[in-house]
Amino acid sequence: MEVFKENIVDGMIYTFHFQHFPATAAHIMIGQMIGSDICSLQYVEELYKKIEEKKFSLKKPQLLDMPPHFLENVVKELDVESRAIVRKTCKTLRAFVDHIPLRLEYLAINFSRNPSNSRRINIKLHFADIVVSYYEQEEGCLVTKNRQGEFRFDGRERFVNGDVKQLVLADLKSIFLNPKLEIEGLAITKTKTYRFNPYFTEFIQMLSSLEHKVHVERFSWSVYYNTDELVEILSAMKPSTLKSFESNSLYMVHDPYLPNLCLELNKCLFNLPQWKGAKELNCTCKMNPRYYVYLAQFDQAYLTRNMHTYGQKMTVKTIMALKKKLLENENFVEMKIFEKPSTIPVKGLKRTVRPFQSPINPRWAQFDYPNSVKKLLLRVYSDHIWFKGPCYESDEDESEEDSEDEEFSEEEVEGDSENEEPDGTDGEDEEHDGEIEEDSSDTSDKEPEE
Amino acid sequence: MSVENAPVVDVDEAAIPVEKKMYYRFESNDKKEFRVSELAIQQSETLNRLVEAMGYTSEDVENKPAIAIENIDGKTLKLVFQWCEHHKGEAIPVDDGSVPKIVEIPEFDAKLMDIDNGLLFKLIWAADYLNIVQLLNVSCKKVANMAQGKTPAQLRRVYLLPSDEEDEAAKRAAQEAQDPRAREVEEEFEERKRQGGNSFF
Repeated sequence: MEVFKENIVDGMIYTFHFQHFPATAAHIMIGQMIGSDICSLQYVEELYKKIEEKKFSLKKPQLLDMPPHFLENVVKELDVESRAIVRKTCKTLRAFVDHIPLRLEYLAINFSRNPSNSRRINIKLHFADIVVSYYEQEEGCLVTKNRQGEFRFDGRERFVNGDVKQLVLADLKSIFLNPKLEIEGLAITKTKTYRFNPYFTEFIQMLSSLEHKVHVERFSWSVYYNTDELVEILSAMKPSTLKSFESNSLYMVHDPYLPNLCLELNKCLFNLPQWKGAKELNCTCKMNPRYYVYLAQFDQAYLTRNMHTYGQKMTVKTIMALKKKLLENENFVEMKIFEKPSTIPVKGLKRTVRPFQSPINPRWAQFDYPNSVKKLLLRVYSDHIWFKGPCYESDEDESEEDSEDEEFSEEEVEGDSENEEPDGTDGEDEEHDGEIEEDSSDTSDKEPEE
Repeated sequence: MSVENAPVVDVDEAAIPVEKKMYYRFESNDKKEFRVSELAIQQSETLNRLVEAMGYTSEDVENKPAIAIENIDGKTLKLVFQWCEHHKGEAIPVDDGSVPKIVEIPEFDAKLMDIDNGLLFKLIWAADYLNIVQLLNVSCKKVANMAQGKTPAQLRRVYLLPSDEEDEAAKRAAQEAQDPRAREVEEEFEERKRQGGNSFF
């Protein structure tokens, strides 16, 4: 309780004023209570006047009495952690927190299961400088806060009773609810071991239910099996802000017996404005090479195809279709597609592009952009394909790399038909690593329609 | 009437031209008087405009009555002018809109603001009224720093914030105060319930 430490007489006069006693009555009563000469009638009248003019009050100024722009500035000064705490104090400050721009350099949300008790779920929020962890426990949740990079608890942990899911989702919602939130890099990770995670499912539903689209600039996705959830999450982002997409687990929908249906399902991702608007791609994926054409809008793309779990083979035709698409992107920088060495039709590709051998560097094939002097370059390696566009800036180390490979010489191509399909045909009806390839009726010969 | 010379008035003779060494007199709402250098006044946009508009000469500032600042008491004004004198001549920062702002609290400011919350909020209110941008920035930072490492309940105690329940109760009370009939109806309803009636009508 606040103790009144100022002049006690002023306090008494203030009380009499509050009780609507006239100044004269207040003066008499004070005289009777603590002596007649303690203060004059004039003093009482002056203080009455000050109280009426709001120049004197017993009420101490409080934070919420401060002008709104000051409160706004206070909230702007808060770090992420304090901001989340201030948000929980009262309605007025919550309203400020929810409407003042917040730029997060980095936010990673990690959904996993407790290694010692798989029925329990752990959630970790990694910010640029702090990690908040929620550990599901008996009848509640242990919440810990550590500085980024520290692995031992720094004493800031507390147990919260009640529904853990509600607590975690409320905290996540308090971050994403702000329409002025800007996230430079958002990473979402769900461990591979367990497919169903109710927290993760509800988190996606929460994001989808927001009235605004979330401003994310770089997005990293490490969630296995779930392309449909990726579509939902990307849909919740602002298409105009997403510049880069990264994933170590981009598993496209695949059924060897229903290739057209799979294409339609995967188009849900490829046709998203968020996907089309992104300019950088870096992913390890399980993807049919015939979908490569849907990567042509990326200015920079680095793709590693995991062939151990997915058997479809890259063909000359898929690469030529990709080249055709890339010639529509005049801002193209480069694309590298890494594959298992045996799965790239090296000789077939070299034979196909030999007529386009670059006069400057014979190791590269060169293609003209329509109605332009700009060039697209292609080079085939044993383990990857490399496209370079008009916006590519050469690297100093490149000359060393060049020396490792040979040009598209006629001698090299002769008699190289071993393990190669003829130009323009696919070699998809083969078995790789014990996995069954797509049915021979696969439409992979046909180019996907836009 | 007491006269409080502005403290820490270290005037650098070489740096400040003779005509700039004018000291204005200000009076708080509790009749305390302060003498403040012209250069220090420039930290306050409000006071700077005021003295410019008045166009006082050196004789005027001595002979005319002190400029009254009605809304601020002497204790607070003393802190304000101490701050202005210490930071006189410094550039006034421009808000670049960055969030969070990068604000460092200098040692002098930290000591100046090592006061109870009531006085701190008065200082903030005065800095806002007198439009002293940098003092507002550091005081914002001070208040924001007070939130670090506290729980919501601790923060409510520090900032004297109402909980959601108290907020709701205050809102209801305000509504009832505005509409006495609503309260009468509610009391009547409660009375009927006590009497065992199932329906209000």
